[in-house]
Amino acid sequence: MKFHEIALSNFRQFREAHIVFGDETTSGFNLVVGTNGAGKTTLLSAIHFALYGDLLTSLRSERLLNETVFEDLNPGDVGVVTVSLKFSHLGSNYLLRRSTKVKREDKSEIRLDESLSLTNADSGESISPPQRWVNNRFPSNLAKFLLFPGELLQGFFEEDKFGLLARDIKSLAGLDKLDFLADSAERVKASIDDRIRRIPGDETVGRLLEQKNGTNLELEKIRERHKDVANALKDSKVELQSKNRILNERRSQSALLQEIDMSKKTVSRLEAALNEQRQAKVAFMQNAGWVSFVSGISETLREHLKNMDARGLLGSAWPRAAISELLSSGRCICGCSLEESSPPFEAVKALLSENAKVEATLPYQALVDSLSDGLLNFDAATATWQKFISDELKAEERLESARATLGKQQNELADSGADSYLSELVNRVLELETLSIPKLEQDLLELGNKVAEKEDAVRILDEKWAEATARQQNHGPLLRQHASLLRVLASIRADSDSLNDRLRSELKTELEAALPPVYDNRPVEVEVSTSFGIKISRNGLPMSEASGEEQLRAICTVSVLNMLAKNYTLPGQSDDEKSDFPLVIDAGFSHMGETFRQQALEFLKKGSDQVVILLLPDQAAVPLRHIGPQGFASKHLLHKFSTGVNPNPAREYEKIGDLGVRVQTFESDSPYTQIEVLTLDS
Amino acid sequence: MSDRETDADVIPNQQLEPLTDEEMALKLSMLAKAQNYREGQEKAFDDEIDSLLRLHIK
Repeated sequence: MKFHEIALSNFRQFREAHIVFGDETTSGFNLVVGTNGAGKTTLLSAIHFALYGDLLTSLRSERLLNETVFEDLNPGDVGVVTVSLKFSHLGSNYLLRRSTKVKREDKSEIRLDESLSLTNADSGESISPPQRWVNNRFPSNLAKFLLFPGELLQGFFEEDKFGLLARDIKSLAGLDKLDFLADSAERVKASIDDRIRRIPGDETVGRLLEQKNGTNLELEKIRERHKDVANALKDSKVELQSKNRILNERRSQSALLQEIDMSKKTVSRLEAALNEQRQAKVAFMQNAGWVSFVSGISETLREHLKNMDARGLLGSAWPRAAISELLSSGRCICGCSLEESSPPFEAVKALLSENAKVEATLPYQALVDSLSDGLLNFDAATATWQKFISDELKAEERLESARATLGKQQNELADSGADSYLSELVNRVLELETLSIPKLEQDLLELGNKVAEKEDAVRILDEKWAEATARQQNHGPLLRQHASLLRVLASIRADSDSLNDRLRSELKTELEAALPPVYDNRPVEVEVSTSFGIKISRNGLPMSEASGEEQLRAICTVSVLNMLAKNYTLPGQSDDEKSDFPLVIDAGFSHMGETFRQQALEFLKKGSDQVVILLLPDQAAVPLRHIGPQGFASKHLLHKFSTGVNPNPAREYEKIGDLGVRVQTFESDSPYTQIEVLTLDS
Repeated sequence: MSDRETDADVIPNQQLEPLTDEEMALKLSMLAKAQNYREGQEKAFDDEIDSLLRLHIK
């Protein structure tokens, strides 16, 4: 890249200025000479403004609009600042024009709209978007070195500036971009790791499958049982239907059979009733046994009984009045818990009297139940007892009658020729209707509920399984993406390492070649760390910081960086986008000795197609003396820059004889000083 | 922590493997994206890289 011309309008010190640096035919070496405040740094800043839309960092707080124009504006009025830059890049010519509207606001300015255009001057083709085109070819972070404010030379290698330097050196080869790409890929990888972690492992899926299969098996078993029961029910119903049909065909016989069955049930019921009756009678007599009414007892016994406590003899339940009344009629009662016919009762009876006669023997309970107003009611007690007897008898009679009916029916059945099959048929129908079918229906209902429960369980497991397998199926792409990302990441890192090695090696080689052996002619040794820390030493000792040597190293480094930048294509850049900056060095030579200046100039020229050096007038003679095919420093120029007297003052742009030097002189309006631009022809 | 191997220790073995065509295309796309990356846009940039990954590797 070469700057050919720059035109400024209302830009800081310059109302209007048109500065020619040269063209493709000229050498690309320029000196811009002017006193302090003449506008040299402003010129550098104008180039920066044209390329990137802002001033150099050191001037950013300054006003953009020309001071005179600003003062002429009323508050709220708008002025326009324009910088046009003609340059060539890789054999083509371009015109870049940036224009910014600036509004005066009391003492300050506000930037309004900005317009930027870039045209291929050869084809007239407009390039869009212009800023991207510029940024891709002339990265702004590189610009800080190549449009180089002199103050950066001071402490160029110092630690606190070093991070910046190292970062910018990395940006030469796009290492910084590889770094943040790797960082981003790492973050994306971490996110994929996370997604993979949330995928159920084979173990989980396996367990789910096991559960699903187990539950399915259980479901199948229950379904089998359900089916069996349903079939059994169906069979039973069919059987019932069939047997009923047969029974219908043999209706009369079957009716008799049913009657017999009913009779059997009746007999059975009556047997139970009789049994119950007898049990009640036993319970009635329980503990108390029998009591006999005895008449004809002896007078002696009667008197004796009168005088004794009858209750003591007969039990506490007997009222005295009842005993007295009984004895007065020549009778007594004789209680015995033994059976009526048992020998002990007979023995007791013998004691009573020879004439004693047992009138009745009743259960003790019957007498107790018959007591009324403290007196015995013999008739009632007898009736109570007789009722037991008669009830039992009636039950026996009913049972006998039922048995007789059953016998008669069975005889009738036998006479009707009914076979045992019919009997079995009836029994089977009864069993089906009353037992089998209701039980099967109940079983079927319960099994149906179990089937529904298991089906629900299977459905839930199926859903989980489907979800897990779907996630597993997603494994494929996710794992492939993971693996590929790892490989690409590794490849990017390998590229980064290799680029790092290459850049460090080239930096070391080029710096060692570029840095001059000073004083003792011993070569310098350069160490470049992986993080692009640069150590320069000679004989193992750090290089001197005196006599402008540090500036020289800085200039050499900048030149080498520019040279190296041309060797690298940044990630995503095409070859025609390679960076190729002119070097513009501001006030870099102020503290250098003559030898250093000469060397610095040579390195600068080596590193770039164009070198623009901004100088104070009294410094100009030195580079002039050393540059140029015929000794760029003619006595005229030396005279001019050493005495301040221009040998050809009348001409604005002058080619000085055959010296191959053109001098362009122009003035800035503040502080009204002159700037001269010298261009070496070839 | 998953029992799956997701850590960086798989990288050295894979470093030697050449990239497939898809992976090379992915890498070039990523580099092209990186060219236009601006500081402070990490999240958006990560999303773009993730999209590129899914676009190229299926």
